[in-house]
Amino acid sequence: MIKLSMITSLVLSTQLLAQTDADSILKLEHNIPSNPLKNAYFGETHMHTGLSLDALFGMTATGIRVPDDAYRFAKGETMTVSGKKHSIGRPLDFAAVTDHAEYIGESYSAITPGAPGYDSAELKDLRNAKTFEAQMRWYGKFSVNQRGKDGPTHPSYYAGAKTTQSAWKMAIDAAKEHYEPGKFTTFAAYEYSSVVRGGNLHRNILFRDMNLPDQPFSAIESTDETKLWKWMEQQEKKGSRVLAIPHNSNAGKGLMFPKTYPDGRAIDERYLYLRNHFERSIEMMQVKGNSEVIKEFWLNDEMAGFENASSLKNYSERTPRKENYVRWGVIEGLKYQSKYGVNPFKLGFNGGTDTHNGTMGDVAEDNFIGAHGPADVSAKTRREDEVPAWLLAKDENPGSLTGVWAEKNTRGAIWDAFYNREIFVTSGPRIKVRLFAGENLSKNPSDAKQMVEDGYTNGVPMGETIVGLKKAPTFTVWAQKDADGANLDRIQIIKGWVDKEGKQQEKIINVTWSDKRSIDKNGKLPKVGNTVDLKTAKYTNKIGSSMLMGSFTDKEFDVTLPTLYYARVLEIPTPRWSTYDAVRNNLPLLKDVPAVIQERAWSSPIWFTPKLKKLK
Amino acid sequence: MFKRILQEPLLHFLVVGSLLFFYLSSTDTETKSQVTISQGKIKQLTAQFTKTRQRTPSDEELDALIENQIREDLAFEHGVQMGLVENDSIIKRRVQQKIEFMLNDSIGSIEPSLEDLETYLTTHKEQYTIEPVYAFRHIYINPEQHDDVNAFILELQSNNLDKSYRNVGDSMMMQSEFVDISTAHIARLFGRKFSKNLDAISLKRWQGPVKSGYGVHLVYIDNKIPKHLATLEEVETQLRRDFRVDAQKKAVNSFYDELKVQYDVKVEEGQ
Repeated sequence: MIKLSMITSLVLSTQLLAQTDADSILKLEHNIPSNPLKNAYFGETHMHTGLSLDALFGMTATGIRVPDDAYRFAKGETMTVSGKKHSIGRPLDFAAVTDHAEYIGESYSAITPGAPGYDSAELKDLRNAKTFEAQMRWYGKFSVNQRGKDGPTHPSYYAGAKTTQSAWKMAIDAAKEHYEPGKFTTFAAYEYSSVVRGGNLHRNILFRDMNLPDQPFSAIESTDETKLWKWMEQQEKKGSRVLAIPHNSNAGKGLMFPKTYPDGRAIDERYLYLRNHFERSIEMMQVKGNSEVIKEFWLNDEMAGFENASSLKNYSERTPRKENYVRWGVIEGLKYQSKYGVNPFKLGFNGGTDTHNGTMGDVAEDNFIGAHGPADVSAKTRREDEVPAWLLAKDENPGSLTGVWAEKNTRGAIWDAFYNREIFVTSGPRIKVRLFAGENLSKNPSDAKQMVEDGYTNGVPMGETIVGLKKAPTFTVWAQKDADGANLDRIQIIKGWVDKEGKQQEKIINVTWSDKRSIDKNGKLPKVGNTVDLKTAKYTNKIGSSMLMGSFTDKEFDVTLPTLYYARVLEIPTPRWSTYDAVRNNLPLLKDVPAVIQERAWSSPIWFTPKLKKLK
Repeated sequence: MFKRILQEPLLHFLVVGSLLFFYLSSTDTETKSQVTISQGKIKQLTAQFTKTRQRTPSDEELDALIENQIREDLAFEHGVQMGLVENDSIIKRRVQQKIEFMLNDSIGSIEPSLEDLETYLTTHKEQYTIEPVYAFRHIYINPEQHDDVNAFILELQSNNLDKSYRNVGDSMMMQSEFVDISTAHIARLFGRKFSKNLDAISLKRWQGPVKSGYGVHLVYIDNKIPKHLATLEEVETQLRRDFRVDAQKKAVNSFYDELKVQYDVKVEEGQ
């Protein structure tokens, strides 16, 4: 009896504690001052820990094993990574750990002594696989489950839903523990890792609050993304708010922006609605490549060919095709807008790393130490080896970050920015970019604050839509360099539309640039120059601008055609990570990857829709 | 104090553990050892089979599963009596892991009181230093917009900046005054060099130029809380987390200390 009452009181007091916790967090969030003109916050929403079975080897290499470690790293704590002290240098403002939902239960068993399944022969083998070869052998056997004909299945050593729930709880607990309103935001999140006919159709799932399901919906339940959205719809009915963020369209085998359901039926209004409702942005760039555009299909874009991870095509029959790239996808979406009044690919742009080392937001070129456990752990492996089934390690990049415009750094405000697409992506540096559009915006802004006030009052910010415009829109843009990074080269606006014949069209406009350059007789802006010393991997800010601001009025705008515009900001050239690696280790520069890159930021688009006609 | 003891999870663990021990040893009165395959175990065997084969086992298969289990249990019991466990470090290590897992599980629920945290902070104060916090005003100068930056700065400095600081200088998407801003936040907004430079200049007068990631600034520091050891309010969340991690380590240690008292531990001397 005594025991019973003790247990009851314990349970009661924990519930009370949880309640007061929630209340005090609400109060904290409420008390943080708001900036109606919004601040830029930087973070990432794509990162694996030891709860991802394919990252476990990385974990043994890095020592970052669980979500708690990853959040500590994101907050700036120095951790031991691959035996060396390593730190992100400056903290992130927000972060979400996204372990693969498919095998979090198995991973939990693998890394938790005493947990059900820990003793299974296979997980023992996993823990004992010390050499890279042994690890790959283990992984080869495991991948039979991963790549089943009818989608992934649990292996025989799966110890049941309890382990999945324990792992999910671990992720949630870490997110709760590390949330510091006003300073550092975390999310309950995971990755839904569906592979259909070899195409990567992964999505990161991001919850707005702590009203959560007992366990995540994974590709084991279904590889059909529409089933995922239906599950998300059920969660909404229970009071959750949740987003799905697709990524790696570059490995999507043409299925990321499809014309049909996974089972072959033509997509219909239901598909359009679900996708438009739950997928508000796409991860433009990560470790396994930048998916904006590639040189092969965008010959006229002189800034194309940036970190495209071209060796992707040597693996898993990933033939390059235009339909795998984000610019194609978002312009294609305009066709549906015209036909159905709903755009399924109305996507803002965000970033992420997808590192499998637990090193959240570790995107600096001069600090890159690999992203796939033992596969790219040393300068030698990064130069010579491959990330199995994916690409050559030298083709990787450290991944990208998301910038969001929000009134304060709270879970709700950051999530809402994702939902409203008032977000941008940078290839690593903390470049800030603003984009506004409207018929009556003041041209040629000279004061940044006035430009932003004007933008919110008389126009719309990135991520929004203007319906039924009657005359040419004006765009105002502003970008500021990373406070600790390189100067800026130029701001471009990329315009995409569907012409009267139903064909995709696009145009790139240089809006404003540094160093008082003039457009030449071919209409090109001369290059900004290059200060990189390849012997020392150093650059200077003697060229470029710390801030750029300008406007563009599109005199060619056709009010009858659906159109979108987004901004792209270029940095001056700086050393690529492989150059820093070479200099640090006293090795020759690699010949088949660029020695210098122009890092960049992309704003989410602004959409223009002709006045709605009556739908059929 | 008594209440504290009652809340000590380690104590619960030890008490429950010894009760179990007495219970088990008191029931073990028969001379013949027993091997029982419980209904629960049979259900578990069936479930495992069903999961791997995607169907329920037939009667023969179930009998075979049970026979296997009986053999496993018999072999284990017998092996224990033969002293095979004694020298098997894998089994020993496994039992140790199980015990520590249970122990850690029971500690997970520790909720330190404010007093606990206060004490913890006092004993670990060096680990919790707070970098300077400022109230300051600044004027931004963008070198790209002036042919002679120094002349422009001199011209600025000849004005009464206390009054005009909001209206002079170049455009920047940044407030011109900050209150209660941490060193880390300053680094985030202006770059790490600027936050370092700020620490070196004196208060209550316009100074500069101070370099930032964007150019140079004239700066007036109204107030500065220098680098200091943190108070409880400043680091409570972090303390709470560190306290738990520490408590976990300590609990494991004291668990072993306790066991060392209960057992006579000898390390034989070498020759």
